[in-house]
Amino acid sequence: MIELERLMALALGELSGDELDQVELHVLSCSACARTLERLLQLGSAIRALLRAGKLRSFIAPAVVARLDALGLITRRYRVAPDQPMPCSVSSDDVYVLTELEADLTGVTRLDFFFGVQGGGQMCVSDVPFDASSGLVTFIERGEALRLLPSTRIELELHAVEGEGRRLLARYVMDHDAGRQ
Amino acid sequence: MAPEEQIDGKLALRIAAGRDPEAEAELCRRFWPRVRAFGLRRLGNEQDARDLAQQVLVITLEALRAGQVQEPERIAAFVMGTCRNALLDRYKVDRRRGELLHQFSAAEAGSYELSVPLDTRRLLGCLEHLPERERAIVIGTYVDEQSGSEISGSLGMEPGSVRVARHRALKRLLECMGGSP
Repeated sequence: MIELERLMALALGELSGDELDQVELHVLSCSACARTLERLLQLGSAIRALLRAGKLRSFIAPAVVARLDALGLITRRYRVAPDQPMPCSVSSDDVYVLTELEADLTGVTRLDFFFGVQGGGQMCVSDVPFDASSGLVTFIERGEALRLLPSTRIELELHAVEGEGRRLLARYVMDHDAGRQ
Repeated sequence: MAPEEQIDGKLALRIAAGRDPEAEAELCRRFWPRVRAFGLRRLGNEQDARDLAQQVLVITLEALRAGQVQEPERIAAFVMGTCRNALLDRYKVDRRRGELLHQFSAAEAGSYELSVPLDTRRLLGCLEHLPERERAIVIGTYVDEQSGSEISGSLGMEPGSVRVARHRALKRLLECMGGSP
Protein backbone atom coordinates (compact mmCIF):
# COMPACT_ATOMS: atom_id res chain seq x y z
CA MET A 1 0.00 0.00 0.00
CA ILE A 2 1.42 3.37 -0.99
CA GLU A 3 0.72 6.65 0.77
CA LEU A 4 -2.83 7.95 0.54
CA GLU A 5 -1.35 11.28 -0.61
CA ARG A 6 -0.13 9.70 -3.84
CA LEU A 7 -3.46 8.05 -4.55
CA MET A 8 -5.23 11.35 -3.97
CA ALA A 9 -2.78 13.05 -6.31
CA LEU A 10 -3.56 10.39 -8.93
CA ALA A 11 -7.31 10.78 -8.48
CA LEU A 12 -7.05 14.56 -8.75
CA GLY A 13 -4.94 14.48 -11.90
CA GLU A 14 -1.94 16.04 -10.19
CA LEU A 15 0.60 13.49 -11.42
CA SER A 16 2.50 13.27 -14.69
CA GLY A 17 5.52 11.57 -16.24
CA ASP A 18 7.39 8.91 -14.30
CA GLU A 19 5.46 9.54 -11.10
CA LEU A 20 2.16 8.89 -12.89
CA ASP A 21 3.57 5.67 -14.37
CA GLN A 22 4.79 4.48 -10.96
CA VAL A 23 1.54 5.11 -9.16
CA GLU A 24 -0.63 3.61 -11.92
CA LEU A 25 1.54 0.50 -11.99
CA HIS A 26 1.29 0.24 -8.24
CA VAL A 27 -2.51 0.47 -8.37
CA LEU A 28 -2.52 -2.44 -10.83
CA SER A 29 -0.48 -4.46 -8.32
CA CYS A 30 -2.35 -3.56 -5.14
CA SER A 31 -5.99 -4.42 -4.50
CA ALA A 32 -6.29 -2.15 -1.45
CA CYS A 33 -4.89 0.81 -3.40
CA ALA A 34 -7.30 0.13 -6.29
CA ARG A 35 -10.22 0.14 -3.83
CA THR A 36 -9.09 3.43 -2.32
CA LEU A 37 -8.57 5.02 -5.74
CA GLU A 38 -12.02 3.91 -6.81
CA ARG A 39 -13.51 5.36 -3.63
CA LEU A 40 -11.80 8.68 -4.27
CA LEU A 41 -13.11 8.75 -7.83
CA GLN A 42 -16.60 7.84 -6.66
CA LEU A 43 -16.48 10.75 -4.20
CA GLY A 44 -15.80 13.14 -7.07
CA SER A 45 -18.69 11.81 -9.15
CA ALA A 46 -21.05 11.91 -6.19
CA ILE A 47 -20.11 15.48 -5.27
CA ARG A 48 -20.74 16.60 -8.86
CA ALA A 49 -24.12 14.88 -8.79
CA LEU A 50 -25.09 16.43 -5.45
CA LEU A 51 -24.16 19.90 -6.61
CA ARG A 52 -26.16 19.51 -9.81
CA ALA A 53 -29.12 18.27 -7.79
CA GLY A 54 -29.12 21.47 -5.71
CA LYS A 55 -28.10 19.75 -2.49
CA LEU A 56 -25.01 21.69 -1.37
CA ARG A 57 -24.46 25.02 0.29
CA SER A 58 -21.10 26.69 0.27
CA PHE A 59 -19.07 29.82 0.00
CA ILE A 60 -17.72 29.69 -3.54
CA ALA A 61 -15.10 31.21 -5.79
CA PRO A 62 -16.05 33.48 -8.74
CA ALA A 63 -14.97 30.85 -11.29
CA VAL A 64 -17.41 28.37 -9.75
CA VAL A 65 -20.20 30.95 -10.02
CA ALA A 66 -19.58 31.13 -13.77
CA ARG A 67 -19.73 27.34 -14.05
CA LEU A 68 -22.95 27.07 -12.04
CA ASP A 69 -24.43 29.83 -14.17
CA ALA A 70 -23.50 27.91 -17.31
CA LEU A 71 -25.26 24.85 -15.91
CA GLY A 72 -28.38 26.89 -15.16
CA LEU A 73 -28.16 26.12 -11.45
CA ILE A 74 -28.13 29.68 -10.12
CA THR A 75 -31.72 30.69 -10.46
CA ARG A 76 -31.78 33.77 -8.26
CA ARG A 77 -29.10 36.17 -7.08
CA TYR A 78 -28.76 39.05 -4.68
CA ARG A 79 -25.95 41.53 -4.47
CA VAL A 80 -26.12 43.11 -1.05
CA ALA A 81 -24.47 46.33 0.11
CA PRO A 82 -23.79 46.94 3.80
CA ASP A 83 -26.59 48.49 5.88
CA GLN A 84 -29.08 48.54 3.00
CA PRO A 85 -31.97 46.14 3.60
CA MET A 86 -32.46 43.80 0.65
CA PRO A 87 -35.92 42.30 0.02
CA CYS A 88 -35.59 38.66 -0.95
CA SER A 89 -37.62 35.53 -1.54
CA VAL A 90 -37.47 32.09 -3.07
CA SER A 91 -39.69 30.28 -5.56
CA SER A 92 -40.56 26.64 -6.07
CA ASP A 93 -38.21 26.57 -9.10
CA ASP A 94 -35.11 27.88 -7.40
CA VAL A 95 -32.13 25.49 -7.32
CA TYR A 96 -29.50 27.75 -5.80
CA VAL A 97 -29.78 31.30 -4.58
CA LEU A 98 -26.52 33.19 -4.92
CA THR A 99 -25.71 35.96 -2.46
CA GLU A 100 -22.83 38.35 -3.02
CA LEU A 101 -21.89 40.54 -0.07
CA GLU A 102 -20.06 43.72 -1.00
CA ALA A 103 -17.21 44.57 1.34
CA ASP A 104 -13.92 46.40 1.44
CA LEU A 105 -11.60 43.46 1.95
CA THR A 106 -8.37 45.39 1.55
CA GLY A 107 -5.75 43.95 3.86
CA VAL A 108 -8.08 41.29 5.22
CA THR A 109 -6.41 37.89 5.56
CA ARG A 110 -9.06 35.99 7.47
CA LEU A 111 -12.80 36.45 7.63
CA ASP A 112 -15.52 35.15 9.95
CA PHE A 113 -19.19 35.21 8.98
CA PHE A 114 -22.11 35.59 11.39
CA PHE A 115 -25.73 35.01 10.55
CA GLY A 116 -29.05 34.84 12.33
CA VAL A 117 -32.67 35.86 12.19
CA GLN A 118 -33.95 38.96 13.93
CA GLY A 119 -34.64 38.25 17.58
CA GLY A 120 -32.84 34.93 17.45
CA GLY A 121 -29.27 33.91 18.17
CA GLN A 122 -26.30 34.33 15.89
CA MET A 123 -24.22 31.56 14.40
CA CYS A 124 -20.59 31.97 13.44
CA VAL A 125 -18.86 30.38 10.47
CA SER A 126 -15.10 30.67 10.87
CA ASP A 127 -12.55 31.35 8.17
CA VAL A 128 -14.77 31.68 5.14
CA PRO A 129 -13.04 31.78 1.74
CA PHE A 130 -13.04 35.00 -0.26
CA ASP A 131 -11.26 36.80 -3.06
CA ALA A 132 -10.14 40.15 -1.66
CA SER A 133 -9.58 41.65 -5.11
CA SER A 134 -13.24 41.18 -6.09
CA GLY A 135 -14.57 43.02 -3.04
CA LEU A 136 -17.20 40.28 -2.70
CA VAL A 137 -17.94 37.39 -0.39
CA THR A 138 -20.06 34.91 -2.31
CA PHE A 139 -22.13 31.94 -1.21
CA ILE A 140 -24.86 29.70 -2.53
CA GLU A 141 -27.80 28.39 -0.52
CA ARG A 142 -30.16 25.62 -1.55
CA GLY A 143 -33.55 26.72 -2.77
CA GLU A 144 -35.08 23.75 -0.93
CA ALA A 145 -33.66 25.03 2.39
CA LEU A 146 -34.81 28.60 1.83
CA ARG A 147 -38.34 27.46 1.02
CA LEU A 148 -38.62 26.26 4.61
CA LEU A 149 -37.95 29.73 6.01
CA PRO A 150 -40.88 31.84 7.26
CA SER A 151 -40.96 35.54 6.45
CA THR A 152 -38.21 37.03 8.58
CA ARG A 153 -35.34 39.50 8.71
CA ILE A 154 -31.98 37.82 8.21
CA GLU A 155 -28.94 39.55 9.66
CA LEU A 156 -25.46 38.86 8.34
CA GLU A 157 -22.08 40.19 9.45
CA LEU A 158 -18.53 39.93 8.21
CA HIS A 159 -15.72 40.24 10.73
CA ALA A 160 -12.04 40.57 9.86
CA VAL A 161 -9.94 38.43 12.15
CA GLU A 162 -6.94 40.35 13.40
CA GLY A 163 -4.59 38.70 15.84
CA GLU A 164 -6.64 37.38 18.73
CA GLY A 165 -9.66 39.58 18.03
CA ARG A 166 -12.26 40.44 15.41
CA ARG A 167 -13.22 43.71 13.76
CA LEU A 168 -16.73 44.21 12.37
CA LEU A 169 -16.28 44.81 8.67
CA ALA A 170 -19.86 45.09 7.45
CA ARG A 171 -23.43 44.30 8.46
CA TYR A 172 -26.17 43.23 6.05
CA VAL A 173 -29.92 42.84 6.26
CA MET A 174 -32.06 40.63 4.02
CA ASP A 175 -35.84 40.77 4.43
CA HIS A 176 -37.12 37.37 3.43
CA ASP A 177 -40.73 37.25 2.26
CA ALA A 178 -41.94 33.67 2.22
CA GLY A 179 -45.12 34.64 0.38
CA ARG A 180 -43.55 36.62 -2.48
CA GLN A 181 -41.90 34.93 -5.45
CA MET B 1 8.53 -7.77 -4.79
CA ALA B 2 5.40 -7.30 -2.66
CA PRO B 3 3.44 -10.41 -1.61
CA GLU B 4 0.49 -9.49 -3.84
CA GLU B 5 2.78 -9.19 -6.85
CA GLN B 6 4.32 -12.57 -6.04
CA ILE B 7 0.89 -14.20 -5.99
CA ASP B 8 -0.04 -12.50 -9.28
CA GLY B 9 3.24 -13.67 -10.82
CA LYS B 10 2.74 -17.29 -9.73
CA LEU B 11 -0.75 -17.33 -11.22
CA ALA B 12 0.55 -15.87 -14.47
CA LEU B 13 3.30 -18.50 -14.63
CA ARG B 14 0.73 -21.28 -14.11
CA ILE B 15 -1.40 -19.96 -16.98
CA ALA B 16 1.65 -19.62 -19.22
CA ALA B 17 2.70 -23.19 -18.39
CA GLY B 18 -0.50 -24.74 -19.75
CA ARG B 19 -4.31 -24.61 -19.61
CA ASP B 20 -5.24 -23.77 -16.00
CA PRO B 21 -8.83 -22.45 -15.65
CA GLU B 22 -8.51 -22.12 -11.88
CA ALA B 23 -5.46 -19.86 -12.17
CA GLU B 24 -7.17 -17.84 -14.90
CA ALA B 25 -10.23 -17.26 -12.76
CA GLU B 26 -8.14 -16.23 -9.77
CA LEU B 27 -5.95 -13.89 -11.80
CA CYS B 28 -9.04 -12.21 -13.25
CA ARG B 29 -10.67 -11.96 -9.81
CA ARG B 30 -7.60 -10.17 -8.51
CA PHE B 31 -7.04 -7.83 -11.47
CA TRP B 32 -10.64 -7.00 -12.26
CA PRO B 33 -11.11 -4.28 -9.58
CA ARG B 34 -7.64 -2.88 -10.15
CA VAL B 35 -8.13 -2.42 -13.89
CA ARG B 36 -11.62 -1.07 -13.27
CA ALA B 37 -10.17 1.60 -10.91
CA PHE B 38 -7.52 2.42 -13.52
CA GLY B 39 -10.24 2.75 -16.14
CA LEU B 40 -12.54 4.77 -13.93
CA ARG B 41 -9.85 7.40 -13.56
CA ARG B 42 -9.06 7.50 -17.26
CA LEU B 43 -12.56 7.15 -18.65
CA GLY B 44 -14.71 8.76 -15.99
CA ASN B 45 -17.61 6.34 -15.88
CA GLU B 46 -18.28 2.93 -14.45
CA GLN B 47 -19.60 1.23 -17.55
CA ASP B 48 -16.60 2.17 -19.69
CA ALA B 49 -14.28 1.16 -16.85
CA ARG B 50 -15.92 -2.27 -16.69
CA ASP B 51 -15.64 -2.62 -20.45
CA LEU B 52 -11.97 -1.76 -20.25
CA ALA B 53 -11.39 -4.32 -17.50
CA GLN B 54 -13.04 -6.98 -19.61
CA GLN B 55 -11.02 -6.09 -22.70
CA VAL B 56 -7.73 -5.97 -20.87
CA LEU B 57 -8.24 -9.27 -19.09
CA VAL B 58 -9.22 -11.02 -22.33
CA ILE B 59 -6.03 -9.78 -23.98
CA THR B 60 -3.92 -10.68 -20.93
CA LEU B 61 -5.22 -14.26 -20.78
CA GLU B 62 -4.80 -14.63 -24.51
CA ALA B 63 -1.18 -13.47 -24.31
CA LEU B 64 -0.39 -15.68 -21.32
CA ARG B 65 -1.90 -18.75 -22.96
CA ALA B 66 0.06 -18.07 -26.13
CA GLY B 67 3.33 -17.62 -24.23
CA GLN B 68 3.61 -14.03 -25.43
CA VAL B 69 4.21 -12.43 -22.02
CA GLN B 70 7.96 -12.11 -21.61
CA GLU B 71 8.01 -11.84 -17.82
CA PRO B 72 4.87 -13.46 -16.40
CA GLU B 73 6.18 -12.86 -12.88
CA ARG B 74 5.78 -9.12 -13.59
CA ILE B 75 2.28 -9.46 -14.94
CA ALA B 76 1.11 -6.05 -13.58
CA ALA B 77 3.51 -4.29 -15.96
CA PHE B 78 2.03 -6.24 -18.86
CA VAL B 79 -1.51 -5.36 -17.70
CA MET B 80 -0.60 -1.69 -17.49
CA GLY B 81 0.78 -1.69 -21.02
CA THR B 82 -2.35 -3.47 -22.19
CA CYS B 83 -4.56 -0.91 -20.43
CA ARG B 84 -2.80 1.93 -22.17
CA ASN B 85 -2.92 0.27 -25.56
CA ALA B 86 -6.59 -0.51 -25.07
CA LEU B 87 -7.32 3.10 -24.25
CA LEU B 88 -5.46 4.24 -27.34
CA ASP B 89 -7.18 1.77 -29.57
CA ARG B 90 -10.54 1.12 -27.99
CA TYR B 91 -12.52 0.75 -31.17
CA LYS B 92 -10.24 -1.93 -32.51
CA VAL B 93 -10.42 -3.86 -29.26
CA ASP B 94 -14.21 -3.50 -29.19
CA ARG B 95 -14.48 -5.27 -32.52
CA ARG B 96 -12.49 -8.24 -31.29
CA ARG B 97 -14.09 -8.49 -27.90
CA GLY B 98 -17.30 -10.20 -28.86
CA GLU B 99 -15.41 -12.74 -30.88
CA LEU B 100 -12.97 -13.50 -28.07
CA LEU B 101 -15.22 -13.47 -25.04
CA HIS B 102 -16.50 -17.00 -25.52
CA GLN B 103 -12.91 -18.29 -25.57
CA PHE B 104 -11.95 -16.50 -22.34
CA SER B 105 -14.96 -16.83 -20.11
CA ALA B 106 -12.93 -16.07 -16.96
CA ALA B 107 -12.74 -12.47 -18.13
CA GLU B 108 -16.50 -12.00 -18.37
CA ALA B 109 -18.10 -9.36 -16.20
CA GLY B 110 -20.58 -10.21 -13.53
CA SER B 111 -18.72 -12.71 -11.42
CA TYR B 112 -16.32 -10.27 -9.80
CA GLU B 113 -16.53 -7.75 -7.02
CA LEU B 114 -18.56 -4.71 -8.00
CA SER B 115 -17.88 -1.31 -6.54
CA VAL B 116 -20.06 -0.42 -3.56
CA PRO B 117 -22.29 2.61 -4.28
CA LEU B 118 -21.69 5.63 -2.11
CA ASP B 119 -24.24 6.56 0.50
CA THR B 120 -25.06 10.06 -0.73
CA ARG B 121 -27.01 11.04 2.39
CA ARG B 122 -23.98 10.27 4.44
CA LEU B 123 -21.77 12.14 1.99
CA LEU B 124 -23.98 15.21 2.36
CA GLY B 125 -23.46 15.10 6.12
CA CYS B 126 -19.72 14.67 5.66
CA LEU B 127 -19.58 17.67 3.32
CA GLU B 128 -21.54 19.75 5.81
CA HIS B 129 -18.91 19.02 8.44
CA LEU B 130 -15.99 20.17 6.30
CA PRO B 131 -14.52 23.57 7.17
CA GLU B 132 -15.94 26.23 4.80
CA ARG B 133 -12.66 26.80 3.01
CA GLU B 134 -12.16 23.09 2.35
CA ARG B 135 -15.73 22.68 1.10
CA ALA B 136 -15.23 25.59 -1.33
CA ILE B 137 -12.03 23.97 -2.61
CA VAL B 138 -13.69 20.57 -3.02
CA ILE B 139 -16.58 22.09 -4.95
CA GLY B 140 -14.21 24.09 -7.14
CA THR B 141 -12.20 20.95 -7.83
CA TYR B 142 -15.07 18.74 -8.89
CA VAL B 143 -17.54 21.12 -10.43
CA ASP B 144 -15.27 23.24 -12.51
CA GLU B 145 -12.40 20.74 -12.88
CA GLN B 146 -10.21 23.50 -11.53
CA SER B 147 -6.54 22.90 -10.87
CA GLY B 148 -4.92 23.91 -7.60
CA SER B 149 -3.47 27.06 -9.13
CA GLU B 150 -6.84 28.15 -10.57
CA ILE B 151 -8.52 27.70 -7.22
CA SER B 152 -5.73 29.50 -5.43
CA GLY B 153 -6.15 32.51 -7.69
CA SER B 154 -9.86 32.78 -7.10
CA LEU B 155 -9.72 32.21 -3.35
CA GLY B 156 -6.67 34.31 -2.60
CA MET B 157 -4.61 31.31 -1.46
CA GLU B 158 -1.17 30.01 -2.40
CA PRO B 159 -1.25 27.00 -4.78
CA GLY B 160 0.63 24.86 -2.25
CA SER B 161 -1.92 25.71 0.44
CA VAL B 162 -4.79 24.77 -1.87
CA ARG B 163 -3.17 21.41 -2.63
CA VAL B 164 -2.69 20.68 1.07
CA ALA B 165 -6.24 21.77 1.92
CA ARG B 166 -7.70 19.73 -0.94
CA HIS B 167 -5.91 16.57 0.17
CA ARG B 168 -6.89 17.20 3.79
CA ALA B 169 -10.54 17.62 2.76
CA LEU B 170 -10.54 14.42 0.69
CA LYS B 171 -8.97 12.51 3.55
CA ARG B 172 -11.64 13.82 5.93
CA LEU B 173 -14.36 12.77 3.49
CA LEU B 174 -12.90 9.30 3.07
CA GLU B 175 -12.68 8.84 6.82
CA CYS B 176 -16.17 10.22 7.37
CA MET B 177 -17.53 7.82 4.74
CA GLY B 178 -15.86 4.91 6.48
CA GLY B 179 -13.35 4.37 3.70
CA SER B 180 -10.17 5.16 5.58
CA PRO B 181 -7.43 2.94 4.23
